[in-house]
Amino acid sequence: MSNNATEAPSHWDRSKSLLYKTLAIWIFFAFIIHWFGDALNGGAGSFPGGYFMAGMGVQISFAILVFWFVTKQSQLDDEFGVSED
Amino acid sequence: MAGGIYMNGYPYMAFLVGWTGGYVLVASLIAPYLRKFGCYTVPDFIGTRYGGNLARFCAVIVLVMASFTYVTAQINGTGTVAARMLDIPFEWGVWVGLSGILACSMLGGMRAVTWTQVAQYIVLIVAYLLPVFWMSNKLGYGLIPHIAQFDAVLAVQELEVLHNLGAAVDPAAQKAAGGLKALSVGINDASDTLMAKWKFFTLVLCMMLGTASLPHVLMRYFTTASVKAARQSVGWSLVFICLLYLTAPALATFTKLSLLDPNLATGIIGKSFADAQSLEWVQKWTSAGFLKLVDGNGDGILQLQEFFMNGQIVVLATPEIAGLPYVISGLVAAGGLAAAMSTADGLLLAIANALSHDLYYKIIDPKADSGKRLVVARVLLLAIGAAGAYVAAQKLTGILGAVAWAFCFANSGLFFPLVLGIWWKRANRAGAIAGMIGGLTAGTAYLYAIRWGGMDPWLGIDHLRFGMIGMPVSLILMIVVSKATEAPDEETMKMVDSIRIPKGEVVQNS
Repeated sequence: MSNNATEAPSHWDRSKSLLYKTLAIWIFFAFIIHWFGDALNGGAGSFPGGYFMAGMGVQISFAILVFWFVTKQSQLDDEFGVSED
Repeated sequence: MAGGIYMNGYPYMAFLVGWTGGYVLVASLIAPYLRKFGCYTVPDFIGTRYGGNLARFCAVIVLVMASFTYVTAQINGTGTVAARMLDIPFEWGVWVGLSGILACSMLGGMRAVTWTQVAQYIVLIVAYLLPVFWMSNKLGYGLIPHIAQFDAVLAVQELEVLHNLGAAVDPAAQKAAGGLKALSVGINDASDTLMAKWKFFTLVLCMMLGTASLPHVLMRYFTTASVKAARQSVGWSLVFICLLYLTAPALATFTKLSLLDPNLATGIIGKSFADAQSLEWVQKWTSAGFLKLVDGNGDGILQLQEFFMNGQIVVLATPEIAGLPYVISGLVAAGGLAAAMSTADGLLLAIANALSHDLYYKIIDPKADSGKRLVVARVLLLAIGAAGAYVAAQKLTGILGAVAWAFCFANSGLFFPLVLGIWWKRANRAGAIAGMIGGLTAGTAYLYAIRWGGMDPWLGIDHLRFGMIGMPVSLILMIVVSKATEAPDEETMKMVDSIRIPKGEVVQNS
């Protein structure tokens, strides 16, 4: 795969860029969304969106994010032939 | 945990966000690389990556401080259950709890811990979920509490207004209640000020980076079949943890509703003080020292501001508060014990491994045979357990406080040396040692200053978040000192390269 060496990004470069994507999504659910917790709650009597995100929404997003990352990283390893067996 | 949300509402949901989000970091930044490295303990990685006994020794210190603090929290938990069930003072309860934990970990080794953890987890899930499902259905909010809780949240918010939540607590009544607290924070007071947002942000950050550097969390992924399996098992851990954590807010909500709703038989707030005082659960928890009703204004009615409790009993007391059958209380107590024991087992093992493998075998006596190392590990286990029970009996902080401290110790000392050891080749021994010692010292000194030294916290960084001081110190020292000293040798560079790809032999066999 990495025959035309210098131009094509290496396995580690691709891994790094996957990491940055993962961390960007992570930052959104970990920090940014809670900054707006108050706004998400809406007024009295409306669905408590801020409560929902902090108590449930982000946890589920994290679980999905981890599995997405694992799948992508495994594909990457296979593509470069560096996976185990 | 649910107790924290019960007492403190929305701001404490930062714990849930942090503890789950930390696993994203474990999966992407750390676990697969440590698995490829093939280490046996976390200090093993630090010791080999940076080289030298001093680096290894520093990592052992951080590990022991963080895990030991965490153990005291778990012993505190078992002590609470024992105190209530056996009707003994909390100070004796911690020793009963410790005996249970030690019996569990002494009877087996690593494999036993893994299997008892599975069994304990099942007990825990059932014990934790059952009362919540029961309450949700009994109160008529719906079959699935996780969905039904949102209506309940709105109902609780109305009741909070009805009961004058946030009204001043009578100072004389507070004095009579000692360290116990009346409810004062609304269930869903989401951060609307900059300070509240900042506090949420910092708590999430501390808990996440703490999760990613706690040795007993990372340890689980050292023994997976492959690097890929290490990544996947982080995902599965997260799924199981979510099952539990997603229920915590629902539990807090329905418990609150049961107490506050005047239309329910269990809603004792706003009703006769004498009636509430005569309830069996009120008397039992009061005699154990976790609850106190004080009729501050002498009107014979129990106000919200006259109901003082320690948040850590919420999960245990919920079945009684909500008037569920007695057998459920027993089940929940068993679940609580199971939870505390399985975590404590893992922690004690992490500490004993680090001390016997890294400190004793690798540093003090490299010729020790495995039998001798095992004896050392067992003796250490006993000594650490006893010290833990002693500290827990001192009640320096609550369960949740001690857990937060453990996470902050871990992230102040270990997070950057671990992550940069994998992701930044230029990181060297001097930098790592400076990062570990500097971060841990700064964090600990700050904790001491605000907790016992009478200093005012800076920018709302209180004792739950002292990692906010330790972490930046650790990061900056590590980068500056690494840059100022020589780059690591060729061999180390090659080692880092080899842990970055899954293929090939593990770097180290021990």
